[in-house]
Amino acid sequence: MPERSLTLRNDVAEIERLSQAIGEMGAALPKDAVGEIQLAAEELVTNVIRHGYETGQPGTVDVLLRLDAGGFWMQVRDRGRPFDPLSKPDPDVTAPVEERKVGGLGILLVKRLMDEVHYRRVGDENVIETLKRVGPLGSEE
Amino acid sequence: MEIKEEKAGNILTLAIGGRLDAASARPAEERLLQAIESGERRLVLDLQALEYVASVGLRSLMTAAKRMKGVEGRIVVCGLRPAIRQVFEIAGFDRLFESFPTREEAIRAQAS
Repeated sequence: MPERSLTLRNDVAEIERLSQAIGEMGAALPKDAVGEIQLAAEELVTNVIRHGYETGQPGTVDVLLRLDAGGFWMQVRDRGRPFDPLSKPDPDVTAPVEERKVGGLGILLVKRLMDEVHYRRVGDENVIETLKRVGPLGSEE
Repeated sequence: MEIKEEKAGNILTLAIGGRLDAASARPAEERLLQAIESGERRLVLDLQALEYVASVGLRSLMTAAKRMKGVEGRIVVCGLRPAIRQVFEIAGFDRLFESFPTREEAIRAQAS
């Protein structure tokens, strides 16, 4: 069961490294699905960098990736202030342009692109776990 | 991310290629707002070469859409790849930007 852990600095430049790791682990998966997981990962890590830590404060984001029979599973952990990104209501994507809010789209993408997303506060950590039910190419029923 | 520009009559086409993510959204947004600032009112965003868009890129596009709405101009998009189309639909961007399969159709729509 392939598993991989990465520790990222809270810097958006680190996202590329995570994206690459997901690409490597998902090499046998449909390309579309891998792209969706990469996008969800970027959104989750960006969110931590933007909301979890004070701007400019050094910190890390721990990511655990696992591919098994259940699908592609990802855990994102940080030690920033308590922040549950799932607690906010989804933005109204049907509003006319002048009334639309520019925020909230990242988490909406994660919710729609992945099959499960959960948040927990464990000790001093924010823990997000997310799953995409996906199997290797040709394994679909 | 790279932007190629083409002006035909009063229609400016910006072809945005590559990745519109945390690293590249800001320069793209600046170019869009600058175009509106300098008087462009008919903008075509050719996204055929756009491989990836994250929410930060969506924010930039929405900021441009809001600005353009304020000056009564119009931005249309064309050439969306399936992955980009999917993200646009989730974000409700199919309601913000009229979309065309090809650049020719988008330019024709802006000219009418």
